[in-house]
Amino acid sequence: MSVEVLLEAKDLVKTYRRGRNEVVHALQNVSLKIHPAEMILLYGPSGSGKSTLLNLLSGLDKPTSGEIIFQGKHDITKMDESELTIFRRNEVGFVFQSWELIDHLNAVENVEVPLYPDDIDSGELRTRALQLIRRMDLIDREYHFPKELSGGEQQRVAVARALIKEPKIVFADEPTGNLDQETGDLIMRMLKTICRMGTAMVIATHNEDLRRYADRVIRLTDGRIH
Amino acid sequence: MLFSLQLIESFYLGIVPRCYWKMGNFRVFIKSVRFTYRTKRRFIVFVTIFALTAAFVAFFVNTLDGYQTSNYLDQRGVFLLQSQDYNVTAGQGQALLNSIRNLNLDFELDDLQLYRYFDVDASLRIYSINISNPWLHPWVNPEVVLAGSYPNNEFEAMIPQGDMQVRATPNNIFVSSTVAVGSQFFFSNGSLTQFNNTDDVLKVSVSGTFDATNFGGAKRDSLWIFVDDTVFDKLVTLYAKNATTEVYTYAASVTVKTSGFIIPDANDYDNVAILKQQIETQILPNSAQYGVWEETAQTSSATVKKENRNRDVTSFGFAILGGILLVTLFSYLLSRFRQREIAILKAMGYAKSSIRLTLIAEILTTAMTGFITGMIAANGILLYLSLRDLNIVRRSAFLRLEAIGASFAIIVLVTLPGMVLATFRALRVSPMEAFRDRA
Repeated sequence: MSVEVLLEAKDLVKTYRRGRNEVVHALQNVSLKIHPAEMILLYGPSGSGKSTLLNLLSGLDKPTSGEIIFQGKHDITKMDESELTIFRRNEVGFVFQSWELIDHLNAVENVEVPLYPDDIDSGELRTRALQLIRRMDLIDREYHFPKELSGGEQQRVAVARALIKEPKIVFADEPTGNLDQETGDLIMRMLKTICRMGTAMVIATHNEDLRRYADRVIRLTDGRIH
Repeated sequence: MLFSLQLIESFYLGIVPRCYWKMGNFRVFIKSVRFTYRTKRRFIVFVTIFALTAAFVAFFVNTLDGYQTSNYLDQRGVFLLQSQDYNVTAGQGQALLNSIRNLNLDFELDDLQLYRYFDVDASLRIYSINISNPWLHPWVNPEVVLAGSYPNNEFEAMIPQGDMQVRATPNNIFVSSTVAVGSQFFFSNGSLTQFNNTDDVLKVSVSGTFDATNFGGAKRDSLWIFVDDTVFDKLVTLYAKNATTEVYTYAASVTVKTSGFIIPDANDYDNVAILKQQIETQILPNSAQYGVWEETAQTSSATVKKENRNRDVTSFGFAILGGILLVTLFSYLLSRFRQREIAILKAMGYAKSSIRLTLIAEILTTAMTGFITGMIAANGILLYLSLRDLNIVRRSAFLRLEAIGASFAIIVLVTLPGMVLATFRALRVSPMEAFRDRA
């Protein structure tokens, strides 16, 4: 594993208001470092701040205070929306608990979607998407729509979609949350393989069984790292 | 092929802002158009909204001209009535219409209609009306029907209100003793025995009665039947009447063509005034040639203009209100339906311009599909109505270009703000919140 730091969070604080008077401290002084090809498990019960931390690290949300430095140079908390868009487009992949595939696109189109706005030849795009789909062991399922796929298959399509831009880091929020044990293990093994090839993985989960796949487990409770 | 691709490309580069000059964005647009058809329920909902709007507008505009009230003639033309003391022959009536047609006017005339009558005998008089254009007749039209309905086809007739009995029945007509809605007339110039052979008789049934105050009311001493022009001509032949000397004209209608879009405006009314003045000064004085005529009292210019203004304001108000409602509904539904997809695209790093393109593609696709569907539906309705001989359709079984144009304009007017609102709302979607809401 490289010692170079890919993403570093420093003293992240996230508070928000609930109702008129209640202030929720979702994250309190969280610091961590993520290295390339590292699989990190953000582990904790519901409401511990896992998803909030994931959203901050991926640039989907902004912290109340603190810094998130990407590749030692760029503080993503200081980026404006267009810079964050470029950051997400070029460096980050997402895998969601509910897969979040687009219903009216078939598997290969769902995988292609992130690259549609790029100046890339359509033929080449299709070839890349099909290769990824096959890597995910979805042979003969390329042109099926999400409703025709099982939960595990949908999640594999979602993983392929996250990887098509060859991101440096993939954020996965409860990627096995809606899957049975066997399928969940399959997905995790795939993610682990991808991780070994150089992509960092940050996985938020409350499933203790997934700890065995992680290079490092960060335990969150009440918005703090323990 | 290459040339046409280049043309498309230069068109695309010409109308699309520089930020969209990317092959990728072009692909986003094309793919979004293609994918729009796959969204099934969403696509059907939006296409239905647009189709209903388009069909409603087209149908409304198309029929506005024909589906008028009794004010139609006040706004569009002149109704001339023969003098009660002088019988105008059909020949004189036709000469009158020809002269009006040949007047040296700066505007075009639209309809010229002659209303005729003849007496079968002392007990029966046949009047002509034109059921395909009922609003040209201020006294016998769908609005004045008291019982039954205005004729739906040429073999239906109107009669004045009040029980009428045929007092004398020579061999040429047979009716039930009391004439009312549903009564049937069997016309024949032969003997009664011929009634057994239905091919030899002309059957006309009474579809409705009307208030005949303007037609002399209680003074009637014979049965009057109002039939369509086509049947009138057959009866003239059947009873061997001389079409120019034994058939008379009781009224004539002339309308001017609207210079505006569809609805008569102030200029049209001024044209009507010019037409009236020309008829009064150049034609009516020539009584020997045309017979003696009286002009009917018509609504004053000020009243007609006020009515037009009120109608315009009301229509405009409804159009604005309807447009706002439709646009709001549309933008709300679209951003609501697409909330999750937009969140996914944002999470994957789609720029706002690319997301906007997907929305524009979807709105344009649904709007155009809805417009075409609406036009087909409206045409279908028109065709059906015309085949059923319903009087809502005045001339054509197909939409007029003005109606299609108006519908297209409304769709564009509704689509543009809808597009802006929808994209504005959609771009505010936060991926985090969208996914959380769904979870």
